[in-house]
Amino acid sequence: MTSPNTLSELSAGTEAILANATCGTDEGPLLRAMGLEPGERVRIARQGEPCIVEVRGTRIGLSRDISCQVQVTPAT
Amino acid sequence: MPPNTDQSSSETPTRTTGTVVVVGNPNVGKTTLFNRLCGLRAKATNLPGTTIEARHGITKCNGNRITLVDMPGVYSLALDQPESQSVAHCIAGKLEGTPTPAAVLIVIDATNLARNLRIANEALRTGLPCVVAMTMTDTASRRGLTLNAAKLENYLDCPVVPINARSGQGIDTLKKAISRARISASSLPSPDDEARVSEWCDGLVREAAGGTVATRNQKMRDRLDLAAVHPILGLLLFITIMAGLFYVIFALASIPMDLIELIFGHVGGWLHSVLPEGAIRDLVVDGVVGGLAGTVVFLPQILLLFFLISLLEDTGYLARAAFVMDRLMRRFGLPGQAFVPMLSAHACAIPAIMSARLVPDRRDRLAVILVAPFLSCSARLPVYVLLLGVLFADRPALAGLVFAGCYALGIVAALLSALLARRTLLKGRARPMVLELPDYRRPSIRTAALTAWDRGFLFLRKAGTVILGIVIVLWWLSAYPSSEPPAESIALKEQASMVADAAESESMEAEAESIATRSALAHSFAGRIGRFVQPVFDPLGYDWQLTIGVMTSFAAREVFVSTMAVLVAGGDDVEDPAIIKRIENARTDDGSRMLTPSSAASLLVFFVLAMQCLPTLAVTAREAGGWKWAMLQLGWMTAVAWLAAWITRMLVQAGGWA
Ligand SMILES: Nc1nc2c(ncn2[C@@H]2O[C@H](COP(=O)(O)OP(=O)(O)OP(=O)(O)O)[C@@H](O)[C@H]2O)c(=O)[nH]1
Ligand SMILES: [Mg+2]
Repeated sequence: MTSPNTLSELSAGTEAILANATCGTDEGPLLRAMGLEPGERVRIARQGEPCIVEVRGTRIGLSRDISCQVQVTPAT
Repeated sequence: MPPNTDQSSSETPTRTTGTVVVVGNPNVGKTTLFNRLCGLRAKATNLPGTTIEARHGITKCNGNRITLVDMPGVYSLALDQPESQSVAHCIAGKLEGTPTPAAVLIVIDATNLARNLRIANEALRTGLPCVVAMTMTDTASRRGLTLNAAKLENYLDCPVVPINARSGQGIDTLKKAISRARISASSLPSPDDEARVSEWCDGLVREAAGGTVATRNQKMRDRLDLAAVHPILGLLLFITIMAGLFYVIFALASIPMDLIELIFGHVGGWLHSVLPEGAIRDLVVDGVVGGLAGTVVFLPQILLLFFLISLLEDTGYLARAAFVMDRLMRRFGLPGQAFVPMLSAHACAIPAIMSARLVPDRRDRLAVILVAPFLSCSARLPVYVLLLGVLFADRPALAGLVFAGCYALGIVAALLSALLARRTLLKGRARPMVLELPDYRRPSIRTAALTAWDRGFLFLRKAGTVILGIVIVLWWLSAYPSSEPPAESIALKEQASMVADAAESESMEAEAESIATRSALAHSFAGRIGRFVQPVFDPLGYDWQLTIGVMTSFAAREVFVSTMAVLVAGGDDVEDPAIIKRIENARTDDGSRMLTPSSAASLLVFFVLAMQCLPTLAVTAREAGGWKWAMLQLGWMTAVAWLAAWITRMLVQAGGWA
């Protein structure tokens, strides 16, 4: 198992599992309500500003302020 | 305001058997479904004291009249966001003007069941009778997804109806199901226990959803997204699309606008000829017909703007564009979504402020509403043209440059004011952007037409009544008290009747008429107010005539040119170059030139920055949820304009150009 990274460190095209502490920001509840829940598998469609992730077929754009705070474990 | 004759829009829906609230995630088809059920008979209202809008409509289900309330989409009822709280309040019956709902219509997106079930759970747990409408079933089946509504119905313990909100398929079944809405007795997980909620959602999806989901054209969507949010390519794409949008608005709106002016001109002329001379005729022709024309003339732009923006929003592009613009706007404390209102404001601040609801955060939205009128709208153009003519009569290149400068000045003032507002009055952390990027879709013309109609009607009803009232008052102020024509004018008229040459006699009569009009305006309330207020504008170099011009343009800026024409040139045909020349050469009472370079320059700056549009104030009050915002806008913009105009005058004079 690799150590947890943040969403912003992953490169485009890779997949990751959202870690338990989804997000330390005030946006945490919103992100979870949008489907970015712990344990979900996300695919990074674009990295940077914005970071675009796909979770269960839904695309969500996140500004870097947020993507650098979302903890993930890289998925194989 | 006229009494409301439209029975569907009575303030308190008393004859209905119940209120049903539509609840669901954003972009799942709530409004499309609402429009299907209620048609055109909907009424948009701002929730008290907020910029959040609810739409009320009436539909018949099994012979029962039901008031349907369409709310903004939210991801959860428990989020710390105004929208989310409003929906929660609405369900709890704590929303002013909306009775406690008899039932909740939960709208879920069949293609994204796992997430949509979360809010369904929250709504079911409120203890109100519920019905579930499952939209996007067409898209789901195209993707090879099969959904078992009966199983869902069983698990949720309330009716579940698969529909296609876009085509209307399943709507009749849904109508019958609404009367079968029931309080769910199924065991539902507590929203606080997030792990259990996800487990519950996943379990339901496993039970109810089947089929092998065809892998969608992910590469294609990735490429489109990459291009759309790319720092350079995305910006170019954005500029192209927006330029096209505004070109279409300007090109297409001018035809109906001309037509409206023509029709109202004819109506006014006809009324002028049939009504007996006197105060009533003046009021009807100049006040009411003139005021109506001035209001209705905005309608084509408003309809087109909202039609096109709705189409664009429907395609899914606007969400991407928001990220492109966020990079630029964020520096001024504004979110990316603010670009639509800010751009629209260059056509007219009214539709711009009405489109500010695309901005999700309340503080951001208020900031946008407050600063939008700084941007140079098309009503300022005639004033710019007149004043630039005075300033740079023989230097067209310089005039062009300053013309562009006026636009730039407006933009800078708007952005800096927005920054200031966000730092002081509307203080609060700028919310970093989190935005769902909806699938690219073929836009629905029907939705766009309904949106345009909705906005246009709202504008006419709410703003129109206020605007009309204001215009009538202003007209009255400038027409009364009526005074005797001055001796000079009477003498000239007598002389004219004795001159044999018809042409000369006519020109003398016109001259007499102009002296009379000018004297009437000078003696009217507006004229007196102008003289009274003039000291305020004295530092800016305006005499009482320019002051009246500035004052009357508070009704609408374009009035300035015609007021000046009446005031100093005795005619209101502002197309006539001779009249423009006379305005330029007009004298003040002491015989010096009225428009010196320094006063013209300060006037130009004043017009760029001042809040001189009462219709806009009326719309600001409506959209921001209170007159205090409109007053703030008026006060701030006028203060900034005055100061900037004064500095301009000082600079021009210091430059020895006066
Ligand atoms: N294919 C398909 N498209 C639909 C259906 N229902 C709605 N749409 C489309 O989905 C998009 C969003 O619909 P809206 O009705 O604006 O969604 P909403 O839930 O009101 O969205 P918000 O007000 O932003 O929360 C529009 O492009 C609709 O045409 C449906 O059943 N099938
Ligand atoms: Mg809607």
